[in-house]
Amino acid sequence: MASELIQEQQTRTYWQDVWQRLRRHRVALAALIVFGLIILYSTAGPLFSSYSVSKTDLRSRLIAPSSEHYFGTDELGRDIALRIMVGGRVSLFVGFSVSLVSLLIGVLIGSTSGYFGGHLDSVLMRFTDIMLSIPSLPLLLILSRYGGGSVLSIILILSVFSWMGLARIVRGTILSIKQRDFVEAARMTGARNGRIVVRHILPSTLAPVIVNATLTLGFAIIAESSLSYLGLGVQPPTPTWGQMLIGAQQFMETAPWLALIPGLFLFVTLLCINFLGDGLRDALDPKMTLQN
Amino acid sequence: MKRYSVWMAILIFSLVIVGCVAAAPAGEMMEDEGPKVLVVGTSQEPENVFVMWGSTRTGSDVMSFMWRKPISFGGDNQPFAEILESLPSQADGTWVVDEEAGTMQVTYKFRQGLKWSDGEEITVHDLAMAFEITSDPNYIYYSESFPVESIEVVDDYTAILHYKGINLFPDQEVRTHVIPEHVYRPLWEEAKAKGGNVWENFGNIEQVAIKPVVNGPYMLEEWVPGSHIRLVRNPHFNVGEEPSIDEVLYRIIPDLNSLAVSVASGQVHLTDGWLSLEQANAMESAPEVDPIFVPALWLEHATIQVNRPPLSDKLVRQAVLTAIDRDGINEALFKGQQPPAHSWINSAHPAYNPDVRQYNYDPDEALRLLAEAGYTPNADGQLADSDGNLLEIPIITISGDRTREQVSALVQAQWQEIGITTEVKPVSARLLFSETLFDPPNFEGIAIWRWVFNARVEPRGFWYPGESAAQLDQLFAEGNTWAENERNKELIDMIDAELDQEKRYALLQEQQAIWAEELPVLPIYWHVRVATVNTALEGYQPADQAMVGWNVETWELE
Amino acid sequence: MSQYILRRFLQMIPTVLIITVAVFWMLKLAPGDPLDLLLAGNPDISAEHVEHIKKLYGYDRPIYEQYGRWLWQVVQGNLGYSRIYHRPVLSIIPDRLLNTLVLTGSSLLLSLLIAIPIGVYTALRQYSLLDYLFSFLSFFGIAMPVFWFGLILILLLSVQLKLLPPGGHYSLEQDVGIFTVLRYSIMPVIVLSLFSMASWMRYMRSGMLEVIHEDYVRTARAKGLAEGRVVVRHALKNALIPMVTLIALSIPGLISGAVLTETIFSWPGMGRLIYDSLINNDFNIAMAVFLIFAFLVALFNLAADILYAFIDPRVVYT
Repeated sequence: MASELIQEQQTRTYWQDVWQRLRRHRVALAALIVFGLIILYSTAGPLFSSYSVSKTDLRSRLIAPSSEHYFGTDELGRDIALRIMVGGRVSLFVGFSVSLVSLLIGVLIGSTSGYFGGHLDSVLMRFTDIMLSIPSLPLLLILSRYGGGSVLSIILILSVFSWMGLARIVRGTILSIKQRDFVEAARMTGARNGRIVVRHILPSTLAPVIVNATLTLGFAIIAESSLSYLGLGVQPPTPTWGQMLIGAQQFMETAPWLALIPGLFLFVTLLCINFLGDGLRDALDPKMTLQN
Repeated sequence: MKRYSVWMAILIFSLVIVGCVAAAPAGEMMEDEGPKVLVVGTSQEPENVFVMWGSTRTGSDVMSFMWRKPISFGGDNQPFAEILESLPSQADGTWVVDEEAGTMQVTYKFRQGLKWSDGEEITVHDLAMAFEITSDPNYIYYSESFPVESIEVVDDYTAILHYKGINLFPDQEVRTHVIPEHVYRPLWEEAKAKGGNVWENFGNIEQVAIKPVVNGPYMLEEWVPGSHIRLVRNPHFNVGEEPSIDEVLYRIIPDLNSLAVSVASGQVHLTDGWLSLEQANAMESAPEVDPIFVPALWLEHATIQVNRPPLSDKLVRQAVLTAIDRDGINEALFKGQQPPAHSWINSAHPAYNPDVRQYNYDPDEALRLLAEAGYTPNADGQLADSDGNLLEIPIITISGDRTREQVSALVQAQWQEIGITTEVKPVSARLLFSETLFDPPNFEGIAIWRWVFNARVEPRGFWYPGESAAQLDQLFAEGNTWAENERNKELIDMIDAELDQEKRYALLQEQQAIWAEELPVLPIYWHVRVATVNTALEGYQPADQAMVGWNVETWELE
Repeated sequence: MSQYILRRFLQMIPTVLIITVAVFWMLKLAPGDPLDLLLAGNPDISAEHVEHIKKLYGYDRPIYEQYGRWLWQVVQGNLGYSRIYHRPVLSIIPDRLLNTLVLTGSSLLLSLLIAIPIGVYTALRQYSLLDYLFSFLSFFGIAMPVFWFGLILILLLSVQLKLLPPGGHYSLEQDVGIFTVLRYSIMPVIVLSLFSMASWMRYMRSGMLEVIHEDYVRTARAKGLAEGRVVVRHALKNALIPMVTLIALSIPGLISGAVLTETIFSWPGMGRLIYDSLINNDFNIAMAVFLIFAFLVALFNLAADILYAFIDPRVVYT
């Protein structure tokens, strides 16, 4: 009882520490705020919009940003602001889902491999190595022939190729802490394997996992846009930022806002995610305090 | 630490210098007084350049610079004799119809002294050679319903084609190709002797697929897969005048935005059929590029599931077409260049019937028709039948085509407006043609795609239930009002037997009236072919039926 | 050591085989085959004829049998003919490989040349203004979609300034000199470098950060060695070790991963080849390319390990 309490307290101070460090990392903090605003805008925004996504209006097409349509309208007279929100929902949903799914796969494989070691470890790591070094794009191309461009299939396809880094990190961390005293102690007291992994080992791997998941989020968003460019991403009419940006390229001269706005959202979001990842890396790593 | 900054500055600076030096000769090279090279842009790579084997559009485009046919189409969309001395006609006895036997024979006379690119003469043996391959089951396009029975070689320049039935257009198309027999007979025999997949054996020979012996103004000099095809002058070309352009360079530029930029910056002189209307209209800012819009017999249409409710009901078909603002789409997306289609024949064609029932945009009329068919708005404003089943029509569209995506989105919005439950389902072309359309039980709603018609307007392959093209065949074969329409079948039988063009057109007009009433497919709009031409190029004369390079001999490049 | 290499070499074979089996099955089971498309494109062709052609191509056989035939041919050194290019697969791939190497090789070189000094500098000057600036620049590289950056570059350098050709391959020119190659490859190389430069910069920075706080670097400093000497001889050398492995492992990906850049600039490389072969159902090409990739992957994995052993004397192989 007492030991658990102490541990809890330690955990709290650790998180307070992290928050302190993140706050000092002003750029990361700003990135967090902007990213939060973008998420809020995409998720809550449509509730306040008087337009509908699939509603077209041929009389008001290609209107430049104005008071009525503050981001203008596209070539079919659809409100770009609303499409940005809905597209953002899809893009972010893809990003977060891939991040989550690859996190689950990565943690599962990494922790199994690291904790049990032996033959299981070498088979799993061999597999991870192969997956890691196989050029993913050609395989993405093959897989996307099956999916037919639904959001779900894109998430699955991208997840399959983004868990390996995590698995390696988790395994490495576990290997290094497996031998430490508190794990040994838990084992001595007869705790089951699953319990040891969940209660003692996973929390220690949290830092690299969070950083990696953040970067995977960015990777998934940009990978979806790349697939869209090749015609293999999420298919219209479901909008994503990448797809809106690609579709707008032929209006570069006549209606530049069509490309500019989704481009800006995509760019700023990715910028935020990367700065955030960077800040988190510094904030979550206890060693960093030494350097500051 | 300053030293690092200095090193970095030097590094970046030197890279910039290298860049500028490398960029400098760009200007000079263009002014170089070298051979006149015409650069044609395409976004798709041809699969081969053998005349019997064109399956892609780029393929036939490139071939139009390399091959000449017995009969060609000119800029006026009319046929003219090219390798032939003259077009066959019933008047001079070169086209004889035996109405009783239901067969006919046509005499074709070749011009004398015409040469292949290896200097050998073109004779009717070359026609017979192609026919021999065509009638071999190993030929990839082999068809038992091929209309020619046999070829009778009278002399080196005269051949008689015996037709299995009555074919209406021997003066527009010689049904077989012309390939140099002295080159291809030994290769064909060799391929057959090898056994197995004979066509593959034959097709993988370099002299067949890549560097054929040709009779057109240019022959293939170099083909770098993924990059370009370089055509140079055929030294023996004498089917037409000697061309003034030295080389034709076909560049493969897969990204359409990159292609548009290459056109705008003058790197590509000519594109035909690749850029979108939007991109061509944006060329206004490039004064040296002229966009050309060629009216074409390409019908953008929706294939429908006619065998099951709701679209098995003619009234619903009429209603949903009335609910599409096709004029609005034309104005908004196409600047008025791609007008709504009212029939399967274009209004520019003499067989067009201007009095067919037209479905102009009228949401109220659409609702009235739907009410008549039993669909009325429910409490949520969605249309439903008396049992409460929603009127649900999914829209299947080919993914990756920007314009088609836009049109589908507009149709979806306009249908939703009047309460039809609908969603757009994009599928790949591969999937649409291999599974969706071939699998009627799984096909629901409508599928929007494009049909390319021929100026000869032959209805059988499209509109004769039981004998139409593969995709429609499955749909039309089952019991539906279109398959049950006896008058339609009767008319098509009569159209196919009618040799008098005027009478044939009259029959076609009656058939169109039935068609427009029944709506076996939903006509959406007529395409134009979009070409862009640099002002440096003169003489380019596109037409729907004519091949790109049909008159390349007369082109001039500044 | 040589025994170790030999063993690893033999281990490559099952890896490569597994990859080809997986790819073969995935390709064969994907919906739609070229003959269906042939049928769709030509109303005159009867279903019987299509069956006949399918039989000739062996498409009617079970998949494992088709795979067996393919493998047997490959073992005999026959990779077959390309369905769309109608020439032996082996006559197409070398050119494409060379084109890709020109592109990715120079981009790798360029990005490393820029990324390593900057990475070192930003690590030494952590949280300085320039560090933030370069962080921003590298995130800019990561956040910029390739197709977007490419188009902007073309519009700027080709359309506005008319400095460089807007894409294409240097083989378009009749006489190919060093300037021609440069003129055609500058833009694709820049676009391709942007992203990798950003990642290398980050790797180098964090690698350096870890190393400079290690004891031996402190010791070296404490001994009073010149700062430049400490950085280069002690810190940089050790920070480069993991980089070398990463570079070796990234090469197979570089060879295949340039699809976007190659598409934007109409550059006939491997990425485009694999894309086209998959889109057009050019089976033999696709299989051959994957076979090559599988070998490259295994090879560079091995190379990374061996390099590691050479650079880092602590690693012992058994």
